[in-house]
Amino acid sequence: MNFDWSALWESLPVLLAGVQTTIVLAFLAMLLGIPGGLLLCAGRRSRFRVLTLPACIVIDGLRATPVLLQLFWLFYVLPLAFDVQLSPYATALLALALNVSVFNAEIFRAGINSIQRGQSNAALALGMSGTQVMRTVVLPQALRRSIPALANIWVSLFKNTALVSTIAVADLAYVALQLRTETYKTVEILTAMALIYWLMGYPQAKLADSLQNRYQVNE
Amino acid sequence: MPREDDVLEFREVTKRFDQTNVLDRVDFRVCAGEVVCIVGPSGSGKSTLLRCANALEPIDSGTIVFNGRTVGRTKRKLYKVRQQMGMVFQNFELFPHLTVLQNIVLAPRIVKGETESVAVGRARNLLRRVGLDDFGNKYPGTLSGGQQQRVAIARALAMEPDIMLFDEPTSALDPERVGEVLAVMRDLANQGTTMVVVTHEMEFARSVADRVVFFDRGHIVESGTPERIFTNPQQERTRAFLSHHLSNVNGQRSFPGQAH
Repeated sequence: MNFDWSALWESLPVLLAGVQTTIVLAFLAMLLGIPGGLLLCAGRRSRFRVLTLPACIVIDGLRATPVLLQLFWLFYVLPLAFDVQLSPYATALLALALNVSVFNAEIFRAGINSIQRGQSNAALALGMSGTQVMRTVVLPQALRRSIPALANIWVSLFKNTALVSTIAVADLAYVALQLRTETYKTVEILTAMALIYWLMGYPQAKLADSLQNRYQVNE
Repeated sequence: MPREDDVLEFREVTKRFDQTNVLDRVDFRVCAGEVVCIVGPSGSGKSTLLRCANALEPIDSGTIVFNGRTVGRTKRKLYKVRQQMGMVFQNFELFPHLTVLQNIVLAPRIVKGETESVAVGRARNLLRRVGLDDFGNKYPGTLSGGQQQRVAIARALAMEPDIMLFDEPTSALDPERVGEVLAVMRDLANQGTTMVVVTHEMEFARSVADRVVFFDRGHIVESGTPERIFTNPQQERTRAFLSHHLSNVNGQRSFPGQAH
C-alpha cells in the first residue's frame, strides 16, 4: 500500500480551522456550563419545590441519556415541536453547555456536601446568615475541591465536541471526515485526526492529573 | 426566679434525638462574669447543651433566655443572639481557605459591617492576647492544634460576645498543647469573661470555675462550687465519675487527690 502523506499538508489549513472550532466550542460550553452548573445545583438544593423539581428533571433527564441524542433532539425536535430554529452551531453549543452544566451541578453538589458540617456550624455560631455562610465559607472551599473533577469533565467535553460533526458543525471531526470522503485517503486522514486529537487531549489529561494531586483533600 | 444579671438561662429545656432525651427538662443559668464548667461522662448531653444555647440544635420544648430575650423566635433575632455568643469547638473549625487574620475579621466585617481597619486592628490585638502576634498571614493548616484553637478563641472574641461557650476545647489536642489553650482561657476568666466550658480538664475546672456542674444522662446531677463538687460530692453518680476520672488523670497530671 502506498500512503500519500503529502496530501495532508494541503489539507492542513482546513484541519486547523476545524481545530479552532473544536477549541472554541469546548471553551464556550464550559464557560456556560459553570454558571449553568451552579444554577442547577442551587435549584436542586433549594428549599422550594418549584425550583427543586425542574432542576431535578433537567439533571436526571440529561445524565441518563446520550449526548448524541440530546444534540439530535435539540436539532430536529425543537424546530418541529416548538418552532424554534437555531443554527447548527448554536444548537451544538446549547447541547454541550447543557450537558456539561448537569455534570458540573453534580460535582458542585458533591463539593458542597463534602464540606463538613462543623464548618457551617462555626460560621453560623459567629452570627452569619445562611447565605453568608454559603458565600464566604462553604462555596469557596467546595469550588476549590471541585477543580479536579471539573478538569475531568473538561477533558471528556473536549472529546465529546466531535459529536457536533453529526449536525454539520465544522469542527475538527467534521472537516476531517469530509476530507476523507473527498480524497478517499482514509488511513492518512484518520491517523492525522487521531494524532491531532491526542496532541490536544493528552496535555489536558495530564493537567487534570496534576490538578488532582494539587487539590487533593486530606482530612 | 430570673435574676437581673442572668446572661443565659435554660428553663425546662428538653432535646430529643430519636426517642432519647439528650436534655431532659434541664434548668440551668449563668450570670454575668461567671465561669461555669460542665463535666460528665461522654454522651451525657454536655455538648448538646451548648449547641442548644445558640440554637445550632433546635430544642424540643422549654425556653432558652439570653440577655433577657427568648432564643430562636425569628431567624433575624437568632442571628443577633449568635453574634453575642462566642463559641469554640472541639475541632477548632477554622476556615482553611482563609488566613488567620481573615478568619478573625470575616464575621465582624460581614455580620457587623465593621470597617477593615477597625476589624483588623482588633484582630491584631486579639492575636497578641492569645500569643500569636506573628501568625496573621499564615493559613490554619500550617498551625499546630493548640495554635489553631487559640486563633479560634480570638475569632470568637472578635465579635465581642457577652458569653463564651467552649465545647471540649482541648479534647482534640496533643497533651503538650493543652496547657497553652487553657492558659488563654484562664486569662479570659481572670478578666471577667462570662464562660461556659464543657471539659474533661478537672484541674482547670477546679482552679478556674466559679461553679462546676456535673451532667449525666441529660440531667444536671449536681452543681456547686469546685470545692464542694470535687471534695464533697453529694451524689453517688458524681462520686463514681470523679473517682474514676481523677484517678485516670492523676497518672498524667499532678492533681491533689480530693476524690473519694
